[in-house]
Amino acid sequence: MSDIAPPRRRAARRREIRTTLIAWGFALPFTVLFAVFMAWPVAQSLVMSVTDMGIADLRTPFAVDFVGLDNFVALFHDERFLHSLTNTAYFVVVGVPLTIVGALAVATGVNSGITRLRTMFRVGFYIPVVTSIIAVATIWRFMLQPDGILNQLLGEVGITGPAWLQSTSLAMPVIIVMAAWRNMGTVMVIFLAALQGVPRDHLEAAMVDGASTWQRFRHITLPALRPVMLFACVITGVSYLQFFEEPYVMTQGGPLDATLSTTYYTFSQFGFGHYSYASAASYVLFVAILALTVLQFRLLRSED
Amino acid sequence: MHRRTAATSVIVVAALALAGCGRSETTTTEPSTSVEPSSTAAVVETDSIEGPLEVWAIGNEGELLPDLLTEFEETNPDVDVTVTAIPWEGYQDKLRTAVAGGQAPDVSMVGNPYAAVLAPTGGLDPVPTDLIAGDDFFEGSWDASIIDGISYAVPWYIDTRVIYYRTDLAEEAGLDQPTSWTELQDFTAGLQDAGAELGMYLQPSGNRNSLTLLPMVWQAGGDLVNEDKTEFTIDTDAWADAIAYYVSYFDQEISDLTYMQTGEYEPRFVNGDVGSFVSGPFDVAMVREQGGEGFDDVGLMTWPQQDGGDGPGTGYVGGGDLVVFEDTDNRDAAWGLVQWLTEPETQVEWFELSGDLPSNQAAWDDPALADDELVSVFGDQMDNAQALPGIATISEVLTAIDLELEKAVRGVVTPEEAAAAMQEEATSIGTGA
Repeated sequence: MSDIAPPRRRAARRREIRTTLIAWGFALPFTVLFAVFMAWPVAQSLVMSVTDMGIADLRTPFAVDFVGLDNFVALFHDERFLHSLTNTAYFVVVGVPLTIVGALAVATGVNSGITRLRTMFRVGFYIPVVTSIIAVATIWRFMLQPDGILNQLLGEVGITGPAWLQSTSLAMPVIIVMAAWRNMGTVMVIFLAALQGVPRDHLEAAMVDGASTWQRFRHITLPALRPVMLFACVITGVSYLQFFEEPYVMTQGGPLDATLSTTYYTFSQFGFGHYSYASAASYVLFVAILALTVLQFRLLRSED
Repeated sequence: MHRRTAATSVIVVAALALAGCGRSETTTTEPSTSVEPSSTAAVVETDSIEGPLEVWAIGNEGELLPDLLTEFEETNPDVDVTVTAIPWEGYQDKLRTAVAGGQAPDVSMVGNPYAAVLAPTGGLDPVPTDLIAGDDFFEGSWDASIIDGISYAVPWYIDTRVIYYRTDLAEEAGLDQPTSWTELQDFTAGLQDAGAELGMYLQPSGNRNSLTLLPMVWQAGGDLVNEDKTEFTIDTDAWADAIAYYVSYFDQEISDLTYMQTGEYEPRFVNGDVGSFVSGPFDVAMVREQGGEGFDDVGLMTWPQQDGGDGPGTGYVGGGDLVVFEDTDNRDAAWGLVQWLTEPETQVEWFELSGDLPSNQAAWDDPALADDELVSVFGDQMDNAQALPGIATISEVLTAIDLELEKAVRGVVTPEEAAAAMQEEATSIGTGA
């Protein structure tokens, strides 16, 4: 009696195995692609960062020496790398709030304030997201030249505009504004959707109780948006920590490294063939991204 | 249980992988950048070549090369050449990736002196010197691709920089061709007096402003590295003088801090804002195109020497080289093609097709070049031109110099401090020797 498993349990077990296999069958293509194109490079670059791989090792990547944390130590003695970290922090600390607040303002406006041509505004604010950075950067560079449109407009009001992109103090704010303008659209779309989910009856009740628009916004809308706010902050923060295109196209990291981002620095190190050093730099950035994300989760997590 | 097994297996695999790493005991303890020449490098038969040949060429050259190659395919009917045009942007990464992945073509064009940077990977086939003679080419261009006594590339076309200026403004101000540094500065200031906003467009920042500085260093008698390319020679009077001269243009407001890319300064030159700029042969066509029909107020002149004298001051020569990859399956045809492309007759034909200046000295005797007014100025500059030294770290060193020069231009450091800083950075980067 004991060596014959009850037929019902055996059939159930077979069904279970079959379901698992089918599930894996569906998941397999993605898993394989993910493992080969994402997991493997991540693992390989982690290994590279603790070796001394350079351009001479390109064809024999395994014939390298293990050097422990030397690359990381060298990074933190590298002035330009540290400067790039400061620049990146500057960009994120100013850029993320600017983008989120801007997107929220626009979304709220489009949601409630504008009734006619709403679609036009939605599309209009979203278009910068889908533009080519090269095209955008070229136009902005022309506009920001010392005798460009911006300075001409300022001239009308009697202000002599500076050379925006040649100034070590103004180049970064310009890049931040441009990045915020470009990325506001994505966040705006997310907020627009979330605003639909704000409980209507709460808002009406508050209006009846005599709460002002700002009070309603602050005490009802914002708390309701909290999870979406967290999401928006995380994706914007992660994206901004890796900002590269704007300095690459607009200022080439200048003037005098004022807009040198960590990703740009990593990219140029790769370009020089310092593969292990660049891998180490990118892992430092990875740790920064992790830290920022954890912080954001702590701060913006829903209280329930 | 599953989690522990998974974690253990990951650790075991990682440990095995790391244990498998490590440089071979037989090589030296430092990563070696010298490359053993392939034993078959000298034996190349180019009489009857056949088979498929894959060629990469960059930018404009990539687009025009197929036209030139129809003749090659007629003379060598058994060879089938495929040209792939790749953009200038990121071509170095493309080549490195190709070498790393074993996907390199048979022949590729590279910017001079990039072959020297690529050579330490071991991915380039040394030039068979019994087939192609270095003496045929301009010395600087040829030498730029020599590492440890072995040549890794053949110069295909050269690109030297001269000074473009507005002839009408110069005439108005009654200016003669300058023959010294001081005279050049007076000349450009004179262009400003005659109405130009900028006497000369000099690159203020990054993106190889060092390549405009280097000729000045050579004119002052200095150089980037010593004879055997083991040390940098930047912390010298010649460099300090050259940097001071470069910076003086900004101090005197003959140039300003606005950075302009190719395509931005030509229109301003044509409308008279920019009195002069430094550039290569490609700008002849661009300026003529911007100026349209009837615009002939552009003149070219060679660099002056530091203190005055006959003949041009030393200029910079760059250009494009041809390399053959070590992994090639068709070495004979590859070198046969390179040889054909660098013969004088083909070089003249290529000039007529693309405007690229020949690297083979014999080609310059052809009337197509000798009789062209503007082109002959480039030829004059080639009488005294130097190329970048063939060191594996040249890109990184130039970037460091770019940055320090920018600091000097902005007055953040003095020329002497800039030279000292450049020397320090360059030394820490090393020559890769």
